[in-house]
Amino acid sequence: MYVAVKGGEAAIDAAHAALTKKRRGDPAVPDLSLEQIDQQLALAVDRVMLEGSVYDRELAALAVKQARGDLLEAIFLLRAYRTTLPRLAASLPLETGRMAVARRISATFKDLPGGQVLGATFDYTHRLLDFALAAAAPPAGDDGGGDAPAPAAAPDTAAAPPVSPPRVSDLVGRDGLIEPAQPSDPEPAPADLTRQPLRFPAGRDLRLQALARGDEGFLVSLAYSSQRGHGTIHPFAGEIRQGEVAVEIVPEELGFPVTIGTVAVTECEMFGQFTGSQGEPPRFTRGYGLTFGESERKAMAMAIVDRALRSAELGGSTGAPAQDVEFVLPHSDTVEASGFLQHLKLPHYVDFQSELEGLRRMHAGLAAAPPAAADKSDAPDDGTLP
Amino acid sequence: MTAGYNFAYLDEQTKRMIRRAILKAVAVPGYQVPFASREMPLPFGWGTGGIQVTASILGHADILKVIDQGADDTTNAVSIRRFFARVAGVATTTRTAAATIIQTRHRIPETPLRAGQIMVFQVPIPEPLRWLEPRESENRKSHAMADYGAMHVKLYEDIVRYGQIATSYDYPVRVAGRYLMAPSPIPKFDNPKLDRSPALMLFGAGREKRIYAIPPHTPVVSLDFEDHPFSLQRWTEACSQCGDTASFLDEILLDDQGNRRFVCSDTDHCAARQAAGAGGAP
Amino acid sequence: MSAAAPWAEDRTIAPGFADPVGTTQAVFRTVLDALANPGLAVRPPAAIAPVPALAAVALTLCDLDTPVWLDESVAARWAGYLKFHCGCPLVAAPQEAAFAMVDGFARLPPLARFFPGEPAFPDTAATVVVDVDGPPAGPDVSVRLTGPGVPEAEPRVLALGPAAFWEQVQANGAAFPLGVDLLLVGRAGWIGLPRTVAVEIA
Repeated sequence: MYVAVKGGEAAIDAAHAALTKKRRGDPAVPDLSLEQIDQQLALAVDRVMLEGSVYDRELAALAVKQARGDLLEAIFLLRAYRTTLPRLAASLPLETGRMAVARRISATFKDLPGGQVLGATFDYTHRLLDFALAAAAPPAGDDGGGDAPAPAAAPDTAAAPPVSPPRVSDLVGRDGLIEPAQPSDPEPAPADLTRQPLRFPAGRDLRLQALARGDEGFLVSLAYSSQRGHGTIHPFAGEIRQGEVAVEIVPEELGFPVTIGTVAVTECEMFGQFTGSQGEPPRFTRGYGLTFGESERKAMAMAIVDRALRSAELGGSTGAPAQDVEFVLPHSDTVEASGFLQHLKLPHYVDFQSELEGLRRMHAGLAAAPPAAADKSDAPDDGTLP
Repeated sequence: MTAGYNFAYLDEQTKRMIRRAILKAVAVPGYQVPFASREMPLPFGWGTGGIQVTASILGHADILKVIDQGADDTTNAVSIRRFFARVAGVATTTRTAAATIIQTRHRIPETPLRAGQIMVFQVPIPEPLRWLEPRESENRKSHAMADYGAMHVKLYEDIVRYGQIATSYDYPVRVAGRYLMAPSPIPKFDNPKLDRSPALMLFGAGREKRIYAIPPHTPVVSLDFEDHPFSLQRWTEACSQCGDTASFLDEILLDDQGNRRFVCSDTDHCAARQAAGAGGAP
Repeated sequence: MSAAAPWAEDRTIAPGFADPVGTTQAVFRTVLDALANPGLAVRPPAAIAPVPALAAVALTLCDLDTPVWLDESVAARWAGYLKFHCGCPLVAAPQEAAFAMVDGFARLPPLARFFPGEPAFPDTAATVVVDVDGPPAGPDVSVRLTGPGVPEAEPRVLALGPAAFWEQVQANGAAFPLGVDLLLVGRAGWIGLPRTVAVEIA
């Protein structure tokens, strides 16, 4: 007797065993340590922490290792862990103006108070494969920049005195040429889409949260589409700053803020095209991006998409994908998108069978009567297959 | 039970939130209650809505059955059943009659359900109007005003074009005369099982963050027209294993000459018939 | 409520459930059963003792995300208990409550004062829990209940609560899909009256 596909249990066990083996690879090659991933694949760890919504380098490194380097899978692992964690407190808004900056650039002013601090960036490297890195132990002091001549000495940023330059937007804001920042301590408290499902029209607090958790590739493409004219905002990179910033909470029993630690973040403020209206002079508008670690590309994309999503509120055009909150927000989450895409691997026998049956019935109907008269034909509609 | 996680995986605060949503879903039959869906250790699109609903209702005394495409032994059904055996330590079964909770993807069992049983459906797209209008804000207005004209137009266009309504699964229903509801991608063959069922039907859409319900004994009507009444799929073939002609049959290709066989999609139903002495079709 | 309730003394806070995970699950299933089968008296699990019914419902469903309204007598005895165990905000206006806890029909405000939800979001309506063993508001009347959750051939018949209460339940149902959902708790079992229930007063 023919037996329909059986043995799901055994198949799953075998697949898990195969995955474990594949993950480890050749046992002759040393096992990767979480410290190595944290230190040497730091940007992968940053991205997993950011889209996984957990600031924990060790857990993110573990997720990267467990996911065999598949960052979307690692993000999913971290999210599934995060979702079971209790919510202990809400911090005060981060004071990024008091950031100890490791990198800080502005594309809008040649020089400005606090100066431009290039920090560690790929920006001006020539993208030539550096075969020196392929050697087992690259020389100390390697700059990672490929072709660049070895620098005299890499600056020790940890020892440098922390710099907290004023924000560019504050400098421009003094002249009234840029819209004022929204209050940093809004009432009521910001919404949280991990506790309340998204409602439309979503406020900026929810939008920014969704964008921060959103897929980097999706946001980069959306920002790019805006740059190419689909809902353009004519952006200027007003400021990008990276560094450590203190996290403060106000415990109920104390009633005053205490610092519980610092987080590394990247902040980007885009200055969008100016708008004006009756009684209001034209001025620059803002788009905002904030990410964990050194996720700079993501912060920039987020800032452009944030500004594009504000188009309706600022009296601008609507209708481009990057301006459509009901398009952007429900499709930005990598865990949701990747899961639903991959569910197509699950069996759909029953639905496919239903479609087959329907098609056969239609074909039988067409054979029995010319199409124009199909709806009036006396073909039996009892659903019996011919 | 897995160390480091709560009973049934979800923390108690999350369960409370989902339980409140389930109660409102029962109070407004067919209406999609938004809820703060969690990431689960299984991917979105693979049953996270059903899993969250099951995790929130499940207790030590429950006996759980999990099916996918009607079968208990499809890989995803195995995976979800194992998940609950691991995180909740509950008893599991493949027998429809023995289960108190049945989580399902794409089918309703052939064995009639009884009072006290709870069906939990995994739902990919809970919004029946989504294919006509992708914007949630617009669809929300349609539901608020019970304005379902667009769906009737769509079905009528099918009739003009194909001579019949072309939707064969996830066939829209009207619940208790009010809300238009997606029954999840069950074949329309299963739609009549929703009508006045003595069991409670809960629907969970994890990625889309919606929960909805049909209380027991509630009228559920598949949309149709007077001159084109709702009709069921039927097969002239019989199951090759148990000989049944009345259950939903999966088609199995035997070779590249067009030879095929049919078997019951519901493996428990088929096994029970075989155990009772029923033989397969030649 | 029994006068010997452990929290009658305001100085200490009585404990919640001995097995919170298991008992809240069982209480939830009782409430689910009751609301899915309107008019059917469902027995709560024995494990809730000594926590009285109203508090058991609150321990099961209320937390920092649910504003709760208490009638004066409930508030006098339990406000501290509920704040401690559930962390729920207590509100002064019935209109603001997601849940209301009421000891007896006599202390039940007009149902129209509770939030009935919005047309686009009818799920935001309040849930009103009434302990029917509390002070009565009039003689019990007999009612016949139909609607989703009730077999068409077997309407459920109750002899409980005053006529004025049932008239309000009728008015509540007339606004469907808006309307509050009621849960009546008592020694005879717990009874759900979702907004879908149709009431015929004998």
